[in-house]
Amino acid sequence: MYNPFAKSEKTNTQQHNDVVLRALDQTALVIMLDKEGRIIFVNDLFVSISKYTREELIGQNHSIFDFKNQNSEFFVNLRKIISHGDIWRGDMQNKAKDGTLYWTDTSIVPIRNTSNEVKQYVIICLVITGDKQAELDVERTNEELKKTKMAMLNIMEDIDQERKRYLKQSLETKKFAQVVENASENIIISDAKGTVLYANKAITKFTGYSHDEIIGKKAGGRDLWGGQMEEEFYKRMWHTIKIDKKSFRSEINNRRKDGSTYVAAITISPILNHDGEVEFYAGIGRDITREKNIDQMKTDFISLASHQLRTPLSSMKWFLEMLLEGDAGELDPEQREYVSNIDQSNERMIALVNGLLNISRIESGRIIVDPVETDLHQLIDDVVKEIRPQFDKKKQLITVSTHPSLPKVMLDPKLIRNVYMNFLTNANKYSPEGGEVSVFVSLKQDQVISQISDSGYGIPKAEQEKLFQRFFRATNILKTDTNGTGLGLYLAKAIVDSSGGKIWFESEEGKGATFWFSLPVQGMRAKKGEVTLDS
Amino acid sequence: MVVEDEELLLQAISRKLEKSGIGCISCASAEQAIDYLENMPEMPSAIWLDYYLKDSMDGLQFVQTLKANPTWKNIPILVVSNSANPEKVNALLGLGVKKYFLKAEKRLDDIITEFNQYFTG
Repeated sequence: MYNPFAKSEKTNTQQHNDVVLRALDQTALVIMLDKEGRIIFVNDLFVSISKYTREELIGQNHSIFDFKNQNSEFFVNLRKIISHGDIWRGDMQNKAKDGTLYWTDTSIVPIRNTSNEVKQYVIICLVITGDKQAELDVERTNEELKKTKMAMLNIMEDIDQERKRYLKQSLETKKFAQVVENASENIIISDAKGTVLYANKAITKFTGYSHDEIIGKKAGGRDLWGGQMEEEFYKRMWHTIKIDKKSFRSEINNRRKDGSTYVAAITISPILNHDGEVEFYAGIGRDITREKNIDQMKTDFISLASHQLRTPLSSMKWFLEMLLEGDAGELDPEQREYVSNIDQSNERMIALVNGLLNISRIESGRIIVDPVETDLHQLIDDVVKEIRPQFDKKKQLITVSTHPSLPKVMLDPKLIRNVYMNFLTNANKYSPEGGEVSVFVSLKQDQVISQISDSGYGIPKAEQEKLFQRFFRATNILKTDTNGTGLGLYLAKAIVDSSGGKIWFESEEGKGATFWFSLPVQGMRAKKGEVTLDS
Repeated sequence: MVVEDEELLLQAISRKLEKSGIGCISCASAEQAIDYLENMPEMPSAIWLDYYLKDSMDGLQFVQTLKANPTWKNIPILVVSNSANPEKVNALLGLGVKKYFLKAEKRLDDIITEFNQYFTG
């Protein structure tokens, strides 16, 4: 057997060394590796512990021992130490040929040659006894437990976070509930049938019905605050929220428990589930009685002020008339010019007051709509007859043509007459001498369309969207005519809108304008009121 | 006869009537007009009446009083007023008022022309 420790010539020291080496050979496993890590020597003890034959080991890479339980960091560290030529020492687990594992207290000693290069490694392993193994096993178990504890702690932390999140969310929900409960708006939630599930404080305070009186009843039913509107209104409301599944917005008259009534602006929205079916209705309402009253006061004020203005205007009108008639003696040309200017301004003031009155009548909703079977052709002819002198004065041509089988339409002739009059007055005023104006009435499906075209000054593109605004007057005509009120088209639009029709126009500056307005063939809806236009 | 509570309007009307050759009794209130009617030897050919009157009796009551009196009920009345609430206009016409004019829209001349037809007889 080859023994590197054996020497033939034995000095005293050598003899001692021999003893030491033999003792080592008896107690330790000794392996030698070449610099590539191949096994070049194993002692008998190693052969017996590893259960390999020497032939199986020599020439093999050291990885045959399969240090499976050690991690890569362990080896990086190990290699780092020995590559520096230092001795590594530590516990290591090895695997025998039959698969049994054993722990060794291991030293790896790099052996250098004369030029200080690592040539070989000597590995000396002391087999760790059962106790030490147990100790190591405990250590490993502890390690496992530590890991388990860490994992447990992580889970606990996750649970804690989840709990906090939940608490935060429920706080959030509580916040919303509080806001709804204490909002100044009346807020109500009902089920899909309209039965009240929730009513906030404001609604009980405002209507006088207690919480218990409201819950479980039909929202806005006759035994609560509802039933004050016409049947038609409620039908329209239910159609919107139930069939169309859209929000319904409106003003509504309601009644408190004590019998007093109020006006509310309400919005009812269907809340749909995942299948798109109504699950709840959410209703929000606000008392607008005060706003309504203020609105009424405003309208009344305009009406009163306008009436009061009419008296002095009439007085001026009549005295000016007498002056111009020469009732107080003939005026010289300059005097006549001045008085005539005053008279024109006064007439403009009268027109403004009349316009304002008409607008306040339309806006207040107090106007009487009294539809009668109206022959539109006849109505237009009458308007044209009245306005003809002004057209003749400017040598303007006016033509009227109507659809041959135009039916009679249920219209309030007074209102519609005002619309034609406004368009024709404008066409006359805002067209140069010798211009042409045409009125054309056609029938398109269920609409009667009136078209009024002129060859006048037109409306500048940039100002077109303002045309129907109150008091608006286009800049190009302000230069040529100072006598308009800026109320005519506003009024015309208000009348057409309230008649269920539409009004629109096309125009190019310098090339005239064409206005259209539509009226439903089925006619206007009659409305009881207190006032009429121009009265 | 002109019944009008606005001083300046009353002046304007009466002067214009006189210039047109129509003699005129100016009354600033309905009460004053009734007082005149009661004491006048001859009835006026026509009455020009403002509807809104400040004093206790308004135009409608004045017309009602006249129409209830056999001597006065045939005097033609023309109402010239500041506004024309359709209900009131209809009530007045129902009572037998001949015409209803809006002040601010009419020239004095035109109203007087209308008036003139009642002086032919």
